[in-house]
Amino acid sequence: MKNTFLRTLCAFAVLAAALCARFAAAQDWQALYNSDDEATLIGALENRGQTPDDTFITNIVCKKLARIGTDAAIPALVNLLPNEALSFNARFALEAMTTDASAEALIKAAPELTGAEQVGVVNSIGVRKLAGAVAPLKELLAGAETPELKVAIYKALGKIGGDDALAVLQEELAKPLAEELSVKKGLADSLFDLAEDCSDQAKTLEVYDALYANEAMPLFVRKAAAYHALLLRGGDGIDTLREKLLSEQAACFSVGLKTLREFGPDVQPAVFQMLMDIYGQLPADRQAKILLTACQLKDDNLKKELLPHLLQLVDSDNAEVKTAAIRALGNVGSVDPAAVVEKLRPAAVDDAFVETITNTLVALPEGQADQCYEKLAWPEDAASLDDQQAKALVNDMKVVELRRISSLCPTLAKIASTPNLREDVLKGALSALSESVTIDHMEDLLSVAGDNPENEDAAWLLKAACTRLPQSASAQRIASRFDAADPAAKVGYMYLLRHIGGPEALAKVEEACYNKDTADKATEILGKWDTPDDLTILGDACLKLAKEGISNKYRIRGIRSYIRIPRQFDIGEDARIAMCNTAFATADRDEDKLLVFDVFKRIITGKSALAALEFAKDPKFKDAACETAVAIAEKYQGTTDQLNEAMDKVIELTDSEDLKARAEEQKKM
Amino acid sequence: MKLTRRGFMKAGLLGAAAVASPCLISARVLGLDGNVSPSNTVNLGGIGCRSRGGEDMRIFLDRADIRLRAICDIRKDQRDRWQAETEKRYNDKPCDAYRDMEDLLARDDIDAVLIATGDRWHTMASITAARYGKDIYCEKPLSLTIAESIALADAVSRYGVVYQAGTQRRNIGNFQLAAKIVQSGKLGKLLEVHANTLWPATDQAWLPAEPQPGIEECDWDRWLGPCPWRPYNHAYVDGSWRGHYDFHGGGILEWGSHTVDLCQWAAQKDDTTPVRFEPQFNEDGSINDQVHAWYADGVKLVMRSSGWVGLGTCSARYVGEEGWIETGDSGRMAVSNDALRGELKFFGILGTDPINHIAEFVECVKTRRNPSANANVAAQSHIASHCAYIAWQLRRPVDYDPAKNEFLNDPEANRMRTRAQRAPYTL
Repeated sequence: MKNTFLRTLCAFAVLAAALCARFAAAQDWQALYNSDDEATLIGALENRGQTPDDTFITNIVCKKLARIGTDAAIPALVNLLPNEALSFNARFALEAMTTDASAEALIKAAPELTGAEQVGVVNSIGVRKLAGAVAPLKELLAGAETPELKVAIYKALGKIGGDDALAVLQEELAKPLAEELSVKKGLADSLFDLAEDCSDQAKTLEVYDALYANEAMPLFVRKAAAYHALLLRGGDGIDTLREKLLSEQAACFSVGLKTLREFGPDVQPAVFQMLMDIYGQLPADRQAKILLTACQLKDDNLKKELLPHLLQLVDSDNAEVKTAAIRALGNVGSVDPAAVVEKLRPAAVDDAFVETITNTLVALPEGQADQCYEKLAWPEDAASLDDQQAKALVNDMKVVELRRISSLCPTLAKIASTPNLREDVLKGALSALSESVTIDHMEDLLSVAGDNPENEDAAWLLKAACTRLPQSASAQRIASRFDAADPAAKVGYMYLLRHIGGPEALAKVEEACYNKDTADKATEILGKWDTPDDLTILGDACLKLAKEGISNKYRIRGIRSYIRIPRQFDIGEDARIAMCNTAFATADRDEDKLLVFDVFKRIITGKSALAALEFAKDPKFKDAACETAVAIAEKYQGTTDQLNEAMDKVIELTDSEDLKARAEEQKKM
Repeated sequence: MKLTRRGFMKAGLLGAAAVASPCLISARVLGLDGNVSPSNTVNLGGIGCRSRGGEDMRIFLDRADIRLRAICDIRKDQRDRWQAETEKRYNDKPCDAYRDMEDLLARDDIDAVLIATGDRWHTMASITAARYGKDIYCEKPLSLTIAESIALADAVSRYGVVYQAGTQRRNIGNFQLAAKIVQSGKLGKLLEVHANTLWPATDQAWLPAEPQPGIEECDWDRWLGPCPWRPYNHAYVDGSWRGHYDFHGGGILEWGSHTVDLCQWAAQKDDTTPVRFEPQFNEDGSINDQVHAWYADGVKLVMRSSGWVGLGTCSARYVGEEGWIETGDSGRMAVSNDALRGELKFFGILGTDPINHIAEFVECVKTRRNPSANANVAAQSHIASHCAYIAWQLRRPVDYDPAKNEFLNDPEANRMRTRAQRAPYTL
């Protein structure tokens, strides 16, 4: 009985010791990962056990050996290659190494392994591009029984490259192909690899042609082969390209179209002539796709030759062709913008094409096209236009808006102020005005849209204008209307002032924070202020509000707005920490003080951690301060003297076992 | 190890054209008017469409020229969700559902795929889709390593497929205008571009093991895909994979895939990356959130998480000799002076909205045009983000050769360009 008890006790003791050792090993992974001592790392591999923790440690050690391992680590790594659970980790290191010994180790191991471990090593040989492996891989291929191994060998040979590897794979292609799609794909992909690396163009073409001609290959492989063969043949391949484009098979046309887009400028003239020849033989949907390739044409002579044809095709009865011609004019039309404007303006009254036409007119280069619009006979009385004329005017104004032709600002202002306008004309005029208005004409826009800035449409127009008008001047214009405005308009103006930004706008909103009628929105907007160059005065304004706001609600908003500044903006580490300290001292409520710790957590430095711990002196904030310091250290994922000092303080201060453990953990990093 | 580029920067004419011009495509042309011929319909497959992918998918489904034919997800609840959704929308039988994406991709009747699996799978799924000849809209980031970025661009080029990275700000008005202002020279000589990024660190630790669900309910091995094995924990599958090194490229890439991309675009450096990356340190020697980088011509790229005007998430700032401009997801823009202010426009659309970006993708599928966020430009901006994170992890400067895609005289950094993948996966 006594012996049994003692044996049991001993067994427990051994087990406990083993568990402790395992636990210690698991806990020390950071030390291993941070170690540059290869002998320690190799020792960890050699002394590993069989537990999940050991798998983890192996993983960590092999990752580190991948970075710093030398030939000394190879025996320990090679020992792991047959191990189903750990083989990958060994490859992680061996694959990254660059020495001859590691190459030899992989080549030697390949035939000795089986299954996934063998496939993995062959993959690594490929990634390493080990030229000395071609013959052994050829031998391995002869006996390869699984599709996975065959594909791995193909891919490795493809990556290694060279004439010997090419010969092996060409032999494979000449044989009847295996049924498995994966094997066919693997072989094709490897041949592409070899062809792309081959400096002999004739050999490369031979590979592409062989892949294209092999009807047992999947269609996508043959398409890719045809595409590359066409590209490589360049001008010599134009007849083949013509055949592809005229082919009844969609796949052939698709290859031709793709190739067409890839040809370099030297081949473009010849291709262009070929396209002109065959265009009439193509069905409409293909004509449209061919026309769209003109969107990338760069040669001005070719553009000039094509332009009259495109202008003619704008009248096509086929919608696809017509649309494609209009889009192509956006590029080709650069050689004669006036002709394009003249042709497309009248066509834009067709609702089905107005958007495409507008986009094309907007894409034309500056200069001539703008002058065309400046010279238009703009209506004297926009309210008296018939339906067609009004639609045409709306279209013209849209182009002026998107092209931002500011010289037409007075014209647009005049149209916008015409009494009894149709709604679409008024909206079009205001929209165009908002995008082209100058500061001198801002009153024209304000007189129409400025009285109710809280209205969504008006707000959009005013924002659009104020986005680009001079900051100070536009802020002053808005501020000057503020005092006389009704309450709803004041809210709209304040949002607009925030959108404008700058010191003038900020001063007006700050002033509104102390008026009981406007304080609610003003304090809210102050808390969202985001113009970068106002941070100092913004900080002062927020702090003043925190102390002097006209109600407790607004004072709370003030301190929270103040805390937002170091939280969101980069004003330097010291300034951020100083603002945190000020905020903590100013805040009345604990929940606001706690927000300061969130700011500290965004400053990932030892100084920030130590600064946060200063507040641990107050028992109410001890946990938050300690947690903040640990969180900073955890995010840093490393160690510094100051972070170590902070972790020591946490261990000393906190009652939380969890925080203590986390702090201890960080000290090991 | 040499990372070759093969057809990587084979410059399509339209790639350049699309980058230079804003999206000015008629809604009618884009198929938003409900009048679409059957031959003009794009048959779509969805791969991993929860969360952000769900938002994208709804926009695809709202289009009259899109038909969702099949969905693939490792989670049964997600497969069921999209089957129910299509049944209701189309008043027809539900779309087909798969656990293995190869089953979906092997179908001849699918033209294009939406991939929103989570970062660990983005490259592998996209390359697999390209190898089946499918056009691809893939959520960002497109890769976890430099090697993945290159392999993806090569695969897209090889199979001639259309690829649009989910960096939708290339089709958002305020970001387009800001880039246009820079490119027009209105800021004077460009000096600096600033990209809003996040705290860079990732975590190597594993979450505690939990009982693994049945393969039909949640296929954990397939969820891991090419990544290192680790035990199941439901939090990963529910979205808390972010921040874990094996599944995530860190905080620089998280937003840099958008904002570094915006900077490269504005600076007209879509075909390259910076050549030097320097992590920044605080006075006490601790590393901070910033990485500074320099292009070969001296333009500086600043990647930082703080110090923004407050114009919304994913901000970008461009600084020239004669002024600066900053914009963000709120749609608002800030400039240094009134002369630049005159160039601005109020757009009122959020930077997170992918509707125009998806529209451009669909148009490109039909016309074979190369989209604005194509694989080549996205790969370069991702490589820049990866380089920055490598410098940050090494806690020291690194020099990079964008032509050779390798760090100069820096074996350790070069080893970090790639990560081994679990068999049978390989790039």
